[in-house]
Amino acid sequence: MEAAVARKQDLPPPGGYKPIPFKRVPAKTLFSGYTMFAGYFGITAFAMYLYSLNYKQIVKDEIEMRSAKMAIFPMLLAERDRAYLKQLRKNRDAEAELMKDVPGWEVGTYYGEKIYKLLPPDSFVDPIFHEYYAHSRSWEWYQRAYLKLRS
Amino acid sequence: MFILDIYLIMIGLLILIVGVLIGVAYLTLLERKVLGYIQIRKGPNKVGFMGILQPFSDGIKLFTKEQTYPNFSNYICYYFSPVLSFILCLMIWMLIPYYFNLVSFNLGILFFLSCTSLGVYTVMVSGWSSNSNYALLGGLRAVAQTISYEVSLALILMSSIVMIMDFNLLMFSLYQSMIWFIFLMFPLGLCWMSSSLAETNRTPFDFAEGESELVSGFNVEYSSGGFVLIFLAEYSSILFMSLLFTLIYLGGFNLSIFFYLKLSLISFLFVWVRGTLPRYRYDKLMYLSWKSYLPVSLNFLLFFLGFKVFLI
Repeated sequence: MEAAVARKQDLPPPGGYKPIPFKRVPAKTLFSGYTMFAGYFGITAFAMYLYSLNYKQIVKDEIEMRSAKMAIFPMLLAERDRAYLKQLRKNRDAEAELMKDVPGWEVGTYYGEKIYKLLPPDSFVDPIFHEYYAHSRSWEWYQRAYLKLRS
Repeated sequence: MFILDIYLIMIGLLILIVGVLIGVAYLTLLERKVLGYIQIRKGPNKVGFMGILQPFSDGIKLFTKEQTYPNFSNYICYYFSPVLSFILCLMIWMLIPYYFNLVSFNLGILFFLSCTSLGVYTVMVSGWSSNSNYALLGGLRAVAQTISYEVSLALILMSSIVMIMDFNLLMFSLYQSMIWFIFLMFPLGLCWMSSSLAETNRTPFDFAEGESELVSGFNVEYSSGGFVLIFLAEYSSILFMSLLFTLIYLGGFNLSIFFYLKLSLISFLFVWVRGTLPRYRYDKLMYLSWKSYLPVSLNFLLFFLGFKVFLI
């Protein structure tokens, strides 16, 4: 047998191992408790200030919207009445056109007989739904009826 | 034209449902990937391109499995409670804020609260009707936890409602145009976050499925389709909770992509919490709800009521 090769034993490094760091490493505290409280109150106060600004803006917007609606409302009513009366005229003309070949037919009456006997002659009576849409297309009539039933 | 509007709403709802389902599918993929990277492994990366098709593969696998049902279960209840919970979870999504072609709720917050409280019943019924001790206990735990946290959730929500003085979810963006509510009510935001973790039975509070005590909670006995529905309902409620958090505390909805980025950030937070925190203790959970969150939210409610009165 040859001379044994100088074996290298698995030993600790000269001077021994380094000490094991077993001490607890707590997380770094960025802020102290007081700082956090101060920060919280500061941020909340600033946010409340901003919120109050926002709230005032919203209230102003609401007031403006309401005023605009109130301002436009009479005109919308007038427009609606005007459209309504125009449609009534159209209905009258359509009825006259439709019934022109019927002898003795007067528009707005039943062969000259008044519909409302007790009312004075020139008083206006709102037509009922079916009368108002009597001369429209059936599909449109259906849609309006659908809307009316569900409104 | 009137009928056409209804058709449009229906198409919008259909697109919404498809979007929610795909979102849920990819939320599960996100969860698996993120959990994988948290645990220094790779998560699913084979199906399709880099695991993109994994959720669909999972879904197909689950649906092609045999659906078992326990012999002595209450079959109708057992079969239909996952369906009901899934329907409820999809119905909540009608609340998603949108300016056209969808339902515009004036009382959306009330709708949300009633839908979440109805969701408790499905958990209870599916736990009870499985006729298994583990399922029953898991269901009971889940119900007790969810009900307790609903109280604090509603009370936390009250402060925000007081701030906007409306039940319409769209109003949150109007009132947060200058400052997000998370800065205004930071502790409440944290309370809301952890309450919604408990409400959706998520990880630090997932006592409904404590594997060491209960095998898998109220859904032990469910296999293919029923399990999928329960799973989908759970994850869509997680998504909806993160949507609500974004809406209430992170600036609301202003028709921008950032809303959805914030939403995905919050749902990532849900996943992150699952990968990081160990499970809590059940009695501590109950005490946390009734002894911390409830007084805190009540006090904050008083504070913000006073603030609002001061502003008027």
